[in-house]
Amino acid sequence: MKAAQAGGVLFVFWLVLTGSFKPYDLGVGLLLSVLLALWAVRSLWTDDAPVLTWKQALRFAAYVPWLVKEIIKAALGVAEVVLSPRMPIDPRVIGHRVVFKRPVCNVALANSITLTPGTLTVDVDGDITYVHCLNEGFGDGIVNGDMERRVIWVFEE
Amino acid sequence: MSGIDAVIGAVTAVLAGVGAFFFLVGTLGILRLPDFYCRTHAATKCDTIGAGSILLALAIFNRLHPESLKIIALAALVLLSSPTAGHALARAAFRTGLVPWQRTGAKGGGS
Repeated sequence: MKAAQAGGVLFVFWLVLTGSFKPYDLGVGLLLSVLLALWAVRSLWTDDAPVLTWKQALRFAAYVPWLVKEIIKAALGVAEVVLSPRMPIDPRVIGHRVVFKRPVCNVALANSITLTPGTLTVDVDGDITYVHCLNEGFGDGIVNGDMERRVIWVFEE
Repeated sequence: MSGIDAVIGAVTAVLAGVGAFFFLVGTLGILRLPDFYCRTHAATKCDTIGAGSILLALAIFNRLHPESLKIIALAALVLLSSPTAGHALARAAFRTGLVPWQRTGAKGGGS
């Protein structure tokens, strides 16, 4: 089952890269996908397949535009800081404690934080996520719990 | 169809310009910011936005061509790998004990 999932993803990726439906190309792609999937399931992907329900997938699709909006807003903030002659930065590391039920939430939160300009996840230690902020303002969305609530909304409800 | 051509051309130019601007900001940031962590911000973030906008511009410029899908796949990979690499760098530095730079005389906050 896991091998079929991995092989399917690999084959779609192959189709996108080659953009060709000639029997030879399809055959080579299929063979490589199957071999790579079998190898990946044996050596890379040893734990269980992640569970993603349709509701979670839809909510994730709603989460992405919000994240893109935050990224653009924060990118303009970083540009303003970097370009201003006095460079008003006041970097700090904040430790943010949050308890999730599923590890995927930790990954989603850490990756969202790192994607958003001005904040960088430096370490995750149990429940505590350590975030480096360029100045206090960039960390607001993390400290007030807005981002973690959205992650919980996507993956846990 | 020339009207659509003009719109596509304009959107492409704007997005490519935005991308170039953020690459410039990222480069300036690497040069100006005081320490490793701050420079990692500049190197990974502004490049993500820069590369993202420029790739999106190219995808729109190509319209509904198979190449566009390839470019969008590329953008998705950049958006996944760039923060991962940035986090790996920062975590390695943090665990080695590199102390983040702080503005001297900062009031509170840092501990």
